Amino acid sequence: MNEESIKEQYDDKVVKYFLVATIVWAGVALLLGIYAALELASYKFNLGLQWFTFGRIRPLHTNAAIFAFAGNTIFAGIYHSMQRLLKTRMWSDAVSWFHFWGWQLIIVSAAITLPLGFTQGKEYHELEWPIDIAIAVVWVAFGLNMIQTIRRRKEPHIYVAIWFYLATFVTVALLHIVNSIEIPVGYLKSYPVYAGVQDALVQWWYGHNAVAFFLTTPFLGLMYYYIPKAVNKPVYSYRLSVVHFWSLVFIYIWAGPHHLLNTALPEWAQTLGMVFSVMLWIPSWGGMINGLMTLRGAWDKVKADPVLKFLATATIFYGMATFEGPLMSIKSVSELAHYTDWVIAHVHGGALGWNGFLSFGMIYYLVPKLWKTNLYSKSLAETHFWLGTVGIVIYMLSMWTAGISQGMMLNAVDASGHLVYPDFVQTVTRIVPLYWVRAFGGVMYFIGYLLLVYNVIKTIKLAPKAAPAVAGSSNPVLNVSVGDLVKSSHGEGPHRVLEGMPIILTVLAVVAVLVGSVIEIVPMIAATDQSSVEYANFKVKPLTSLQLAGRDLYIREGCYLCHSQMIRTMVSDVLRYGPANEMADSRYDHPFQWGSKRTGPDLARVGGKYPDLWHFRHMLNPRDIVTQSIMPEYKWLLEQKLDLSSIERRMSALQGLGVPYTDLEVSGSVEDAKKEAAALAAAVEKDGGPQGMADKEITALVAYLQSLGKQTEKK
Amino acid sequence: MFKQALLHYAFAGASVIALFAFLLVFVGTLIWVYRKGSVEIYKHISDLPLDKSQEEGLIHE
Ligand code: HEC
Repeated sequence: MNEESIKEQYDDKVVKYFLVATIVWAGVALLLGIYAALELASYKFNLGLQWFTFGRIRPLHTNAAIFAFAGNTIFAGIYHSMQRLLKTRMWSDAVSWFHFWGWQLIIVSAAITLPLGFTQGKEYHELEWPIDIAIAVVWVAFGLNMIQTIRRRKEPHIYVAIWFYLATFVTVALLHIVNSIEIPVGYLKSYPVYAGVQDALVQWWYGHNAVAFFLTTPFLGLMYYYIPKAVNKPVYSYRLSVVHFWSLVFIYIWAGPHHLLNTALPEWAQTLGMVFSVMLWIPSWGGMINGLMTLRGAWDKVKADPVLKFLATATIFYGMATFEGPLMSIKSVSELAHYTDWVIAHVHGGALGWNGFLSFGMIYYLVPKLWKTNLYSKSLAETHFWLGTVGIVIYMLSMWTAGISQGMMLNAVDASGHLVYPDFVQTVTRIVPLYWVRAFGGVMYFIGYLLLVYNVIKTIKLAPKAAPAVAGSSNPVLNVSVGDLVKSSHGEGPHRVLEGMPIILTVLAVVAVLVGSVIEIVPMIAATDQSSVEYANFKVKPLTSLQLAGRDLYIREGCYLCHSQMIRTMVSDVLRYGPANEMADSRYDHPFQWGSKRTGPDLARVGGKYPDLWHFRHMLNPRDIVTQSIMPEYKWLLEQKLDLSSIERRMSALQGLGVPYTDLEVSGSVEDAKKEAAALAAAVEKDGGPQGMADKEITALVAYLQSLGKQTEKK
Repeated sequence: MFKQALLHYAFAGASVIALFAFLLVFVGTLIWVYRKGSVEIYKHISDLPLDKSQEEGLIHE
């Protein structure tokens, strides 16, 4: 840096690209959501085609919403706000573009692999190992670009939004890497090194904090920048924002076990998760109040300006979701809410209300700014706002009602100690009408989104054409002299050290996050490794090679998205499904399949409940057996040949991870599978079932289903 | 034996330790934000997003 004034331009081109990507992927994510909603309202929407079936569309929907829609929003907002807050261009254009194209490529590869059934079977972490590596590389490039930009900033102080961005970067990197430790057993297939309860804890530590550090902290950073910007007033209390930041970062990381309440997870970890989730309410509301109070005395502006309407309402939805979340984390509330649509209502309040509306507010703010024009139509944006708001309300009301009704029906036990609704499907029939209502709410939200697309296209068309002669002249010019820097750099000493140094700040944030992670995860891992006493009292048989192949199909088809394999320690669960699950039951499960939603009944002890033929007929057409069922048909399983080409590699990988297969079992895995399948298929044929199933996928899947609950024996 | 303890008893205290750690962080942050001189610094920082001159690229020499 020399004494001369420095001429530099912001890189707004990459911001525009991220913005357009946001808009495109938002449409994809929303359409997929509506489609998945329709599939639950009527099984016919599954079309009988494997690529469109619910178990494969649902991960595509969640990945598109989180990583494509929210992800691109975050990047657009960060690249835009950061350059202005730090008064400098992003560090490296090459890295910015690598980040942009790399991320879009990851999304496209997700859109191809997920419908084809390549999945790890862990929610929001479905993408297979080569894509995991790509994510890590691109993410680190993004972080590097950020940190280097901070280091070459021309503004000595670092605004709190940037702390939120930094915390996002380091924590997501940590979560992603730890949850991605897996053994590849093929080009697009891997097993996590963790099994059973360990995998459950690591996965939900990841899953919950993906919500925290991908859908919350970066959006809070955006809130702290765009609300003051749009209302042209500084944030209500900067002090509060600092307290908000540190409390949130410290507390959030502990909350993961609230996804595992009343399960086989050790009691103390459940308690920790619950206590910290409840505490989380306070800093969350501190942040919400800070955002809303920034608008004090400016409500007339909020009324008149769709940008502010979206931003303010997003903040209110943030407040609602962060009140509801702690409530649902109370163990007794979780008994009712967990596995039901109440959780779906909760998530969508956050996703559609908080993330969606904040994104839309930001888009309406940025598009006219970046293209140097005015918004084409304020009243269209206004209509978008109301359509979206009513859409969310319809969505949430229908899913609250569905979730609470179904939860109460499933948990109802009469005076004589019997289940009031012993048939699971009774509770399904009750809520199917609400699934239609939910889809309707989603469609309204989508129509609002279409108005945004139209409005944005029209706005961009209004934009003045850039003068062609001056290269990159559409970008603003930065022209800061060093004198200014000195002038504005009051605040020396400890302040500089703590709040002005990105590295120290980042390290402190990492420490805050590590405290929770280490106290929670390390003792768990130590206490639940394969030599644990919890396992000593049980004899657990590992799956045969055929059953294992069937398990991989269960994962491929996304059965875990409708079925849990975890009978909780509650009377109604035990009455309905059998004895509560022990840690030992999933001892060798790489990955665990406890599930998070019961659209269908729990399957942890379904083995032996029905004859083999029942399953063949049920998988071919569930409605042949349960007329009201909404489960998809899986007829391709009766047509496709079972692929055993990599079963030996898979068994050997599991053997390496501690599953007690003998070398003979590994080397004979193909033969064993064929023998077992032939016997099973012959028996089914004899009972009058379909012919020639010995080499079909269905046989392996049924073998697996029949093993569930049969592998563990008390010593 | 150690593992059994870990699993069932030892970390019954984990919540207490964690709450205490949080209390430290919280009080520490509070003291920090109310330190002397923070008023002007925070005033300056919270005005950063509003710096119009930087928004379009700025022009002061
Ligand atoms: C869209 C959600 C959904 C998906 C996906 C789904 N199921 Fe189901 N499943 C249900 C519902 C609802 C029922 C209850 C009605 C019935 O028995 O068909 C059910 C019932 C079952 C039952 C009977 C359980 C019992 O105790 O009676 C089995 C077994 C089963 N499903 C296996 C599977 C397998 C295997 C897959 C994956 C290939 C799968 N399901 C995918 C919704 C789903």
